[in-house]
Amino acid sequence: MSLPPEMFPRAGDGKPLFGDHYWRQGEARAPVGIAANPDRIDEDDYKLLADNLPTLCWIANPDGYITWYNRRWHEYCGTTPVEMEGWGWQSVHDPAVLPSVIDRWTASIATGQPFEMVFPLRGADGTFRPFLTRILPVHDRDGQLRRWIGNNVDISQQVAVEQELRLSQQKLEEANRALAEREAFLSRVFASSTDCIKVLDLEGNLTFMSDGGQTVMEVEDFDAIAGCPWPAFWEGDGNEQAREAVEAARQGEARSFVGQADTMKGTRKWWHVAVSPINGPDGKPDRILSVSRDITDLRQSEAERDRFVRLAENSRDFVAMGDVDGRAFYLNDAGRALVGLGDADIAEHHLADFFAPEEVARIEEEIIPAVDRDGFWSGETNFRNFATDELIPVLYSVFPITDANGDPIGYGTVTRDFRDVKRAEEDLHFLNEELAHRLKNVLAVVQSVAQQTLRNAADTQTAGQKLGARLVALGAATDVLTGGSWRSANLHELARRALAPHGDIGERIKIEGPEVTIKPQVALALSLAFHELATNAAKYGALSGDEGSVRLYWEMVMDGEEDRFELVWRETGGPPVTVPERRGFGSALIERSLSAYFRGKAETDYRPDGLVFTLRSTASAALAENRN
Amino acid sequence: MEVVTKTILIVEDEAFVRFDLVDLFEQSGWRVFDADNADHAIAILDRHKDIRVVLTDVQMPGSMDGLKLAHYIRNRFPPTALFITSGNKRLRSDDLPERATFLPKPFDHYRLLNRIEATVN
Repeated sequence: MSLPPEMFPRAGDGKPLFGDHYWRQGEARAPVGIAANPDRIDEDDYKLLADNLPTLCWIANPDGYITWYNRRWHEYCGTTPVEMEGWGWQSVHDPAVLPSVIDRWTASIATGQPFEMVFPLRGADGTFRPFLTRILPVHDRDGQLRRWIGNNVDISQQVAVEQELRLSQQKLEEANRALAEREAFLSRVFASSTDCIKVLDLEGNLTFMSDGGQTVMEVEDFDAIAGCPWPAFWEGDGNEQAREAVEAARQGEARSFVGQADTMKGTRKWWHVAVSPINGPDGKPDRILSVSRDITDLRQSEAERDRFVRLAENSRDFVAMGDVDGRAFYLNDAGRALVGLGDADIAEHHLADFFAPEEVARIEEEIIPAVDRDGFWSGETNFRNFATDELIPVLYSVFPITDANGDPIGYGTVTRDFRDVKRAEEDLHFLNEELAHRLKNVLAVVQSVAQQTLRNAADTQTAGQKLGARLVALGAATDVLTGGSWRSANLHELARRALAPHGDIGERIKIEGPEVTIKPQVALALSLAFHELATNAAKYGALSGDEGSVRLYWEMVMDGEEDRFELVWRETGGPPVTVPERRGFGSALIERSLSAYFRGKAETDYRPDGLVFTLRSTASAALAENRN
Repeated sequence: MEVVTKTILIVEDEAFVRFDLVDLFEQSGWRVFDADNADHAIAILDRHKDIRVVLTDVQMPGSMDGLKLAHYIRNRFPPTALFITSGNKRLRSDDLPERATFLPKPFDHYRLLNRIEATVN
């Protein structure tokens, strides 16, 4: 390293003054008149030598008084011998350094010891340059100090080189430090990452695993697994995908996959793995980078979220979501089935499209304002079937859906198919109406029975007794009718209930006949008829004494075109029967009403050995239709 | 000719009620016809033009219920006084033919008698 030429000291005529350049290019000057004789050195030769020495030099008395400088001194410093004589040299010194120079110089003078020091001297150009200065004492033969000889060598170039060297050393150190820091930082990055960062060789064998990676993989001793084929850590599909990823990386392609693998301690985890080539200096894959991320928790939350999706998907209710503008973006299968959308794209449908046309105005006027105000709306409304336009009664419930920050995403609904409920409501309503009707009908019948009883009774006491007993019979009939939901009445039960107050069933009153159910319209009349027959039997007939008995039986007669129903009341063992001179109201009531209700023929035969009452009708007039 | 003016047709499928009404009107000096369905009632009306009052129940078996029968009578025999009774519900007046009186069941038979006699007189 050398100084650039423009930095060499130059004299006023532009010639270089000193230093390396001067040394090489400066010209020696010989005093005029001295003949060069190489065989003999005289005093002039010494002066010539001293003046032309490439260093500055001088001679001082023992007390330090400088008596002579060589020419180089004056050329460099731009001084004259008069200025420099004695202690005049101080004017070319750096004032900051001068005191220490004087101290050292005076110390040497005092002790007679040589002096060596580097200090700056100002050149003729005004620039200070470092000089290595050596001063030696010169003694005579007696050992007496006679002179000081000083020599100043310009070492500015060496200093510059030294400085440059120091600077480049510094830079090198800095660069090294930066490199070390960078390395340390990178390894801290690797160590702090919770991803498992691995470097594989091109065969897929493990060569490096980050500290953080060893933690998540629960690796205690990496050396134990170093060199192992990395795909072997994967099972099932993961193994195949790992092999493919290594192969792809070898070809220079990056791959990623999700798989399951155990940590070194056997904890099963889900990983997302990215495998990519690390290119060498030649730009071709040199090694392979594999970064695995533990996504077990994510998978779990995904699984949890999936369960919520299944909840909505499997719900039998209509579950749907729409955006803030009311455009549908989710509808479960039950919802699709309810409104006949099948697999159609729901994105084109607006909230309003799902409602029956006459309900659409309600959305804007009532439902959406309520949702905005109260946070939900729930009520009965009608959807429509997209395929058939059929109205679908629903219990609609709608609420806003917000994201985790509470910002609205849209609206959600869980809507119940209300068709069955509405049908049941209608059925119930119908039943109520029907019950009210029947009740009023029974009251009308009771009213008529009461009026006729009163109209035909001899006195109020008899009327009261008869009416009371008849009402009991009607009550028994209503019990049986209620048991059959007023749709039918079991004839055995009807007969038992009506006749039980008059005698022991099975002993004096025998009831025989197939299990049949009779129409509700004829049950009241038949019950009342049984009551009247039994009352008359107890009063005049077979049940009046201790011996007689009654047999009530019925049958279905299947001959001819239409099935017939025949019911017989036969009394035996009673007192001899005579045809009454005057028929009582009860007997008239029986024949007249039964004939009317059964649209058949009811007649009483007063046989001497016992009364026989016969009712004949078509089966269809008497019997309830089989409601199976 | 009072006997002729007081002729009534009672249409009621519930026999106990029908018998009671028949007895009531007969005892009050009316000539009474009765029917348990609309077809039967129309046949009677066709035969007996002197029937001025018809009392009919609404609910009846057969092709025509009491309300249809009442409309039919209003058109076919306009001067007839119509009394319509039902245990089912209060009918809307729109459903009734003109100049018809509705009586919810059960009704007071004597008040009905008085009212019908007032109408006829």
